[in-house]
Amino acid sequence: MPATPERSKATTSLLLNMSMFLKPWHWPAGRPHQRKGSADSIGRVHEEDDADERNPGDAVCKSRRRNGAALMPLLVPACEADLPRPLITGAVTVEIGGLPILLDTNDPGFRKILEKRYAGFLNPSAAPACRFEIELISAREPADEDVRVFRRGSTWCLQRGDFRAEWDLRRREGWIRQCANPYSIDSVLRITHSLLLAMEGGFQAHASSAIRNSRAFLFAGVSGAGKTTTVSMAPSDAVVLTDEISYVRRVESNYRAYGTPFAGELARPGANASAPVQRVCLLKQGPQNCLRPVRRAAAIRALMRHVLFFAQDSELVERVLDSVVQFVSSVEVMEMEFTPDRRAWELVQ
Amino acid sequence: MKECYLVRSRTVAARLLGEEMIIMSATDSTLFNLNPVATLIWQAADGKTPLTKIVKEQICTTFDVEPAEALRDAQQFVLDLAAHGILSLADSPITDSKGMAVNRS
Repeated sequence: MPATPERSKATTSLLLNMSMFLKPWHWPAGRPHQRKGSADSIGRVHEEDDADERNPGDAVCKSRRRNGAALMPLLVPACEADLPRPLITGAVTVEIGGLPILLDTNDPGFRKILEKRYAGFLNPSAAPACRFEIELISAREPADEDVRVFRRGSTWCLQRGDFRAEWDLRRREGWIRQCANPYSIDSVLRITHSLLLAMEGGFQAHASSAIRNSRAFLFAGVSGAGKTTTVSMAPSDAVVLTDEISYVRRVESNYRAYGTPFAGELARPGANASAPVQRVCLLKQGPQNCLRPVRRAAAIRALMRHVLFFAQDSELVERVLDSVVQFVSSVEVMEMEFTPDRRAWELVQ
Repeated sequence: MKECYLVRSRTVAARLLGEEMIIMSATDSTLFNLNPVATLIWQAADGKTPLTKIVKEQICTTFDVEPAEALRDAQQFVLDLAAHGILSLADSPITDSKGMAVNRS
């Protein structure tokens, strides 16, 4: 009888290479305003890892308990008097993912910019989840400074070279100080939504998405993998939600993907529509069109690479990780090898 | 050689997926993936158990590896994690720490 019959010889080499199995990479935390390339470049280091971790026998839809269920809500319920005031002159209410945010500016020109930029996502009658007063200033530092998002008491502070913003969770209102640059307000909205979503179990991801047959499909991948290409080839019966930033909310025990106005290379906003998420496709261009299962751990890692989250806050980080774990347990995550033509959409249904 | 005690940082979120641990640092948004061997060490990092004991009682009883070799690799591994701020190391038991992230599966 062997001396250690129960010991796993197969893992010996793992031990010898233990440090090599320590795989750090960074979230795309730096520049929420940047387009193609900014987020994905961070995950490229591990691009080849996923292929090794595929296991066709692995089920990708397993039930799993919700780790985040016991966490206390971060969003402090506001009493009625604290709620943002209803529509006021100069204000524009932008509703993305069913979460209205009121942007109040006394500059008619900037208001027009907002109305044009977020057309299709305006809902003047919605009760806002939060309200920002925008103060336009002549010029700020360039936008290439890394964004900083941190909490001071009940106030979230958002800072980058081109803007400063604060948002009081209890009063559900805050201010934005920026020049009249629409990319700055885009970034503030993305960050604010990332916080709102993190508190309730959702997330934004650097991925394109579309609805087909009443189900939503997300297309994630490294830069150049084909996120924009995929949705640009969408058939007429598909509704493109975004070619840039996918928006996922947990609705009861399911997940819905929503359209966003944040445009990427297609330079056109997504549709203001939503549907339950059917599948996340991890894109890989190749000579054929096929889907392959992805192990859950690999799927979580792959998705985390594309999740947009900016706050240095351990409780919210924990929530986001839980959200992704839960999400991956609830929806299909498949590697989608595709040829860059319309036949790829035969897989998307 | 001095004994090494290790404790998990509280500024990380860690989740066990099968035999692998996924760890997220809140300070710099770095994601780590530990293999099953490294996961055992992470789980045993309670600030009270020295690394030599972890290697002897957890690693060498579970995996087919020479103790000296395992300890050498384990020492390098914990140094790597400590350099990323997700483990704290000390040469005596760690009782008053900022550490001890919760492992959830």
